[in-house]
Amino acid sequence: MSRPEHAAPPEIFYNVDEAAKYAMNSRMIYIQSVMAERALQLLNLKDENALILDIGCGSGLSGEVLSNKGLAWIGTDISSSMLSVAMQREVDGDVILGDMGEGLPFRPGVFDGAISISALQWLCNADFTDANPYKRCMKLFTRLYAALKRGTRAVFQWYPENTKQMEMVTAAAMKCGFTGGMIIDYPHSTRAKKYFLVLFCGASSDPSEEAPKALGTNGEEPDEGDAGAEGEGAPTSASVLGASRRRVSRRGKKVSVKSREWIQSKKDRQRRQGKEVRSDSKYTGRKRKGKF
Amino acid sequence: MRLLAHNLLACVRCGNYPLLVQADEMEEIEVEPSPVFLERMRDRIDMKALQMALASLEIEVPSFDSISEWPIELLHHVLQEIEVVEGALKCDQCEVVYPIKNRIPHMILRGTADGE
Repeated sequence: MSRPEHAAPPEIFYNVDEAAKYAMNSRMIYIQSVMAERALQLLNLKDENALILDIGCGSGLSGEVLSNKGLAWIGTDISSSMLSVAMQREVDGDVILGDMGEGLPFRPGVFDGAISISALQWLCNADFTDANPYKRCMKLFTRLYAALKRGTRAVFQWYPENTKQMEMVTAAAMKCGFTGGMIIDYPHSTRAKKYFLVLFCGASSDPSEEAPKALGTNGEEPDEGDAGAEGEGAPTSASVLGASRRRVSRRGKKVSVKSREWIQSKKDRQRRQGKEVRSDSKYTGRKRKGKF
Repeated sequence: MRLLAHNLLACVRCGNYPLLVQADEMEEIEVEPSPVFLERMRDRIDMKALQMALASLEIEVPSFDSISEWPIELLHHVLQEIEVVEGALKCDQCEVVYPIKNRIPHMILRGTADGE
């Protein structure tokens, strides 16, 4: 899959044409909404009358999910084209043009939570000279930590390119005082696999609160027809930072090279190709003993 | 930008708040009131910022000693129904000016390639 963040900086990539796609394309709208719902679920809000910050709100698709749940929200985005679309759609929240890598323009302790859908990966790219992704992450998380009320959460759905990016982002977040870690929904599926960075801002006021669970860790796929897609799949415990990182298991056991099975399958393949192959015997694939 | 949003804003560069607000064009919009939400926001509202914004937008309101005395209808009106369409925000500490264009405050420090 090509990565749009390699093509151009976000404020250029999300131009008028791209912004129009987000207003018209029903599949895009559907995917964004489902991810926003999942992020909201992970946010675990206790109160319905909350004020949420939407980082990288774009045309306000995720904001609409918030509005539908009766939540008030404020959005920031770097693309003025996307924000214009949001204005045309008459979204309920106020939107602000801002670069999350410069920090967030909010005073301390005003938000009950923050969500961000498909935005954080843009921060990992140096799009202009003297841009340092780690420093920009630090600026974002410092201001985010301050702007959130204590005991709240921030949930980022994003597309990390590699483990290094994941480590850089989480390290920056931890340094700014957050706790939490990555949650991977549907880890065995290439299409439905989704990464969520769940950050806790200070200790929760509710000690009985459980760590969030990942979806689809048993290998099931999400139900495409179900717009809600909530509570699907058997949950397992989330990988929390500092603990061992979860590795995605390979499908099927890999056959070791030069084993009998490997030789057998290679011979079978060559036979099918019509090549001349030695007949199989009890000595096939057997190791030579000692001296020749 | 409505005044609720203004009340939450701080300077990107220095974190100072409230930001001075200046309006070239304003609009009154109608928003369905949500009293429960506003009650919850009441203790989060910065009085100084709100009064300063109202003064610079030349909106007269009866004076109250503290935010808890404001009637909820009035709070709803000033926070949710007054929108600055064109104008600017200014940080009086580091002198950065953030323009407000088409209701959107532009709070980017780096010269944007987005144009306009």
